[in-house]
Amino acid sequence: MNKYFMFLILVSAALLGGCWDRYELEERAIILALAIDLADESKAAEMPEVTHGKGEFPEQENQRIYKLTAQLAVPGKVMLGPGGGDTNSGDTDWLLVTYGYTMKDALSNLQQELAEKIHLGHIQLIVMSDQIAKNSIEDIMDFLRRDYEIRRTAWVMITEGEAHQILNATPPIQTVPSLYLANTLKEAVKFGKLPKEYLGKVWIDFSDIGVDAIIPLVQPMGDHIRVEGLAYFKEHKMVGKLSPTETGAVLAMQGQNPAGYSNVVQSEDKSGIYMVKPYRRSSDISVKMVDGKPKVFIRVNIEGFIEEEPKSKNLSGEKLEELEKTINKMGKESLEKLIKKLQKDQSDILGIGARVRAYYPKYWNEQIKDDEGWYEVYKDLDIQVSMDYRILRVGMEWK
Amino acid sequence: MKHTDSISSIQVAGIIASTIIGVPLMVLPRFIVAEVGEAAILASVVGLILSSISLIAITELGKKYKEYTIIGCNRLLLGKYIGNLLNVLIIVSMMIVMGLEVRQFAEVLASGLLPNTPIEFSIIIMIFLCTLAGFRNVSTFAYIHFFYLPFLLIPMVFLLFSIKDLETYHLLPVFGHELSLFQFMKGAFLMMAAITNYFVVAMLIPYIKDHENCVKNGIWGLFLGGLAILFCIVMTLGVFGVQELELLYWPVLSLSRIIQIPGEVLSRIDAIILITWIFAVFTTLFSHYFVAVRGTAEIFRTDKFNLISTIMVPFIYVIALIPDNIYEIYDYGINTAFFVLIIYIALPIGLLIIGRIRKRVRVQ
Repeated sequence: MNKYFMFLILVSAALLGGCWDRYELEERAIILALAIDLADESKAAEMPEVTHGKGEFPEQENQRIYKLTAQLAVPGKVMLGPGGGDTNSGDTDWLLVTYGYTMKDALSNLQQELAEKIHLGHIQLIVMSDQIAKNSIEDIMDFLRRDYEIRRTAWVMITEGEAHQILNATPPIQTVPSLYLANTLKEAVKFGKLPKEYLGKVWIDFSDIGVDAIIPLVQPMGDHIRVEGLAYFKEHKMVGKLSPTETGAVLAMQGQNPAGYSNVVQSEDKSGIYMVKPYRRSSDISVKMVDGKPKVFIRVNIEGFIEEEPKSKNLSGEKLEELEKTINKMGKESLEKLIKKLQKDQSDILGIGARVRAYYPKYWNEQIKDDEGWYEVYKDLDIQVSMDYRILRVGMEWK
Repeated sequence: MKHTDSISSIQVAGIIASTIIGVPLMVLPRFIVAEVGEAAILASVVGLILSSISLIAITELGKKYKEYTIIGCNRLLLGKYIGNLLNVLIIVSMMIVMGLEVRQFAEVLASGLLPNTPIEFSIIIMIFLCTLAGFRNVSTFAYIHFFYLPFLLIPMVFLLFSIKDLETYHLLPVFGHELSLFQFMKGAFLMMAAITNYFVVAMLIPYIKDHENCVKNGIWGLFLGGLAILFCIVMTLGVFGVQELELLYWPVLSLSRIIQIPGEVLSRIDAIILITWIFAVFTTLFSHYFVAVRGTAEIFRTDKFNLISTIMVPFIYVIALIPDNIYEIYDYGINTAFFVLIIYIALPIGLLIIGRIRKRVRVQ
């Protein structure tokens, strides 16, 4: 009897339990990308009464209305791998626009227009316009952090101008725009064009004391996008942007490999120009206390090779040594200039403050205490840069 | 009592390791860090070392009274009434601990994996699972733990893939920022409270074959499990840093969400970590239940384990449903953990001292 009873329990456990949370692929509205823009106040009248009645949204300082553009995947239409040539992006994805006072408000409005339940688990990227970023992205981040479906490995980008235009970019060879976009960033990181700043990393940088975040900056180019460098932040506000060259400099100071950007060098006697590409970098950011004040030493070691020499065919051992000297001087100057710029905008993207806090806790707790105190010190901080650039190879040409 | 089944001291070590890797694993880094900041690693090491006091006391007690479980020891050394009072206290606190832990488990499931599954269902299934695992045979109990141990330890290797995101400045300074000794010890006690849950060893004493190696192997088991937890703390702290950790509810789960396996064999591994953790929860709860069920059986001098474990189900279920929200769960959880810690440590030490005094009295 007992045996049969146990058997019954086991069988019913197997059959009756299972998939409480099952909801099938075709029952989900899979959002692949979100673009967030600012909308003007007049849109408030158009909003449906979903999370609040007309005009009943609590008034707050810095009230904003978001224009949310969501890219939905149409199940069954997305081609995985190389597929037929006749599907273009219009068939595989679907752009929807809603408005809301907050992220959830806008998504709730979106849900009213969709039969299926919104699923954010496959979100690939979140694009924000620089207008929002310059204001503050703290409240957007709160929603994203709280939602358990969103992957920390999703990408976040900032664009100058209208964010929703990014979602229209689909080169003819790709089927789903957001997959193309996420892939662009992923490959850019792989080739050293951008630092590895996905959503989870950005959140950590926002939280850390003495570290400011950087977010990739992109530009819509019609059917494709261009990586424009980085937007850098002070707390939750974007304060400036870095060009690709400067991005390369930031990556060099972080010691990230591989290097993605080549640099032009002119020889001392102005006889020729050379394209030099770093291929191995290491760096060391150290903090020392000198006379009760922190002093920062950034040491960058780069090994590079010559990619191009369009004007003069005069490479030799001596010439390389001379070039190394020039490039060291040039590199040092540009790094110093970049650091000055960051100090002026009070954005500590290299995490110098975090290092001071880690290695000199006593000094930090007595003199600096928090982010505000750090920015005061940071803007006039003595930062010494030294660079050791060595050119090892010249490619397949002897001269 | 004559026992047909017996376990070796290495099995005891396995039981200890798989018991201490349990429910708190998910949330522990956050709580320690919220208390002591960057000093979390040092505080956890201190907590780990302090935790071994309880283990040494229990195993020493086992060496002295080879034929008795902790329940028997209480009766033997403290007399029938005081002894049984303490025994009831042990069993009730075990049930409370189990109830709260099963609730924490269900809460993680509800907000991290299965939002539509009622948490009542996750709770009852877990309790039933423990009930059905059976308590008649001690060696089966040991085998279950031993079987699951690799499943708990091996997936932790995945966490290593996040090592490239680890920042040194998140781990320093080792002594934290402006930390008083009191705060530091509070952090250490949190770690201690979280891993000193291998009280089940005290219920296994009569079945252990080689008491001589028990202390040594037990410490090995404790350090194996303790290091696994310490590893999680180091990784989460190193990757997230103090400020981010304080915002996260389940740091280990969040950590598993940012890990990308090279070559993209698996696009996300949080499911693997969650499953591992479910095994860990099961083995831990099973140990607590074992103490409660076998303890009750010994008080009533019966071996109707199945009956007792079935009767206990609704009680644990009700305890699990008491807290109102997620903040309350952890409030109750931490408070009971501290209370139970007193039992875990003071009881075996107290019994050792009383045993010595009584012996001396008897000799005179």
